[in-house]
Amino acid sequence: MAGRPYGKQQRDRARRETKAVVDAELEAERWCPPSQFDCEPSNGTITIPLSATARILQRLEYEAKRLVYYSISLQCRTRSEEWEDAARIDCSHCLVHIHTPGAPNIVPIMNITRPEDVWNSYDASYAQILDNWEEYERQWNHGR
Amino acid sequence: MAVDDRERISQATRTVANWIAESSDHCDRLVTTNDRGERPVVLALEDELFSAVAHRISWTDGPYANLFVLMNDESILAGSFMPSASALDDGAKHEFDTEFHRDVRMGEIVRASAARNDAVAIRVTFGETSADFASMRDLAEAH
Repeated sequence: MAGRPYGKQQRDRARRETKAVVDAELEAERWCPPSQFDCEPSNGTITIPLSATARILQRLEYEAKRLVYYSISLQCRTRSEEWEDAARIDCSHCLVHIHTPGAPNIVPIMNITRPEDVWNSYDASYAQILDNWEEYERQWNHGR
Repeated sequence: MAVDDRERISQATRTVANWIAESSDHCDRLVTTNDRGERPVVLALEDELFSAVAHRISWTDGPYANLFVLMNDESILAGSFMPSASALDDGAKHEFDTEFHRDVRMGEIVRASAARNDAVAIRVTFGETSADFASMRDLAEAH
């Protein structure tokens, strides 16, 4: 008796191969924030003082006047008068994510698949740093 | 500072941050930089005393600031703050529209500078602090 053209193993393999092709195509089409070196000349770094020992520092990068990359940091002043990141949200590696004091790993917030995602995530990222800066500063001090 | 005032400044800070991020044109309007090349941004309320705002500005490494004043009608005006010593060359002859030799509320500074466009027009001297303000412009007009 002739077997079916495809057994279960063959169907699974074909499904995996198809999925790999689709994933590769999606990956190729996926938009990623450019390296800051590919952007227009930077407008510099913007700082907002919150206290004598804490501030928000943000780096904004634009292409064709549009925001394509940001990082927003809560920085604390060290005893040697240097500023050090206590928490930071940025959109490197096609992913909005946060670095927090004492946490070994980043915490993903959302994937970036198109330029609009950068702008659409900016306000919430800013609010997260601004609303929690005293807690981040406390954690940073605790971890030193 | 009262909790309500802190909350108003916090909300205005978000508004200004969004305005800056919205376009590189807006970011380019932050003309005041400190010695590190950073662009400090400071928020103030119309009814705040100059001395309180100058204290916050002293937290920046400068002290210089791109100053944004939240008015009581919820409009936001933008201008520049710089310590007097850096605003003028020794030999420069500069006439100020208005000079305050006392502590004033930010609203008075805003109103005094409303008629000027670019020049450093206002000087405030209070105790050890002397600061110059470039004219304040409505954020909405800066689009």
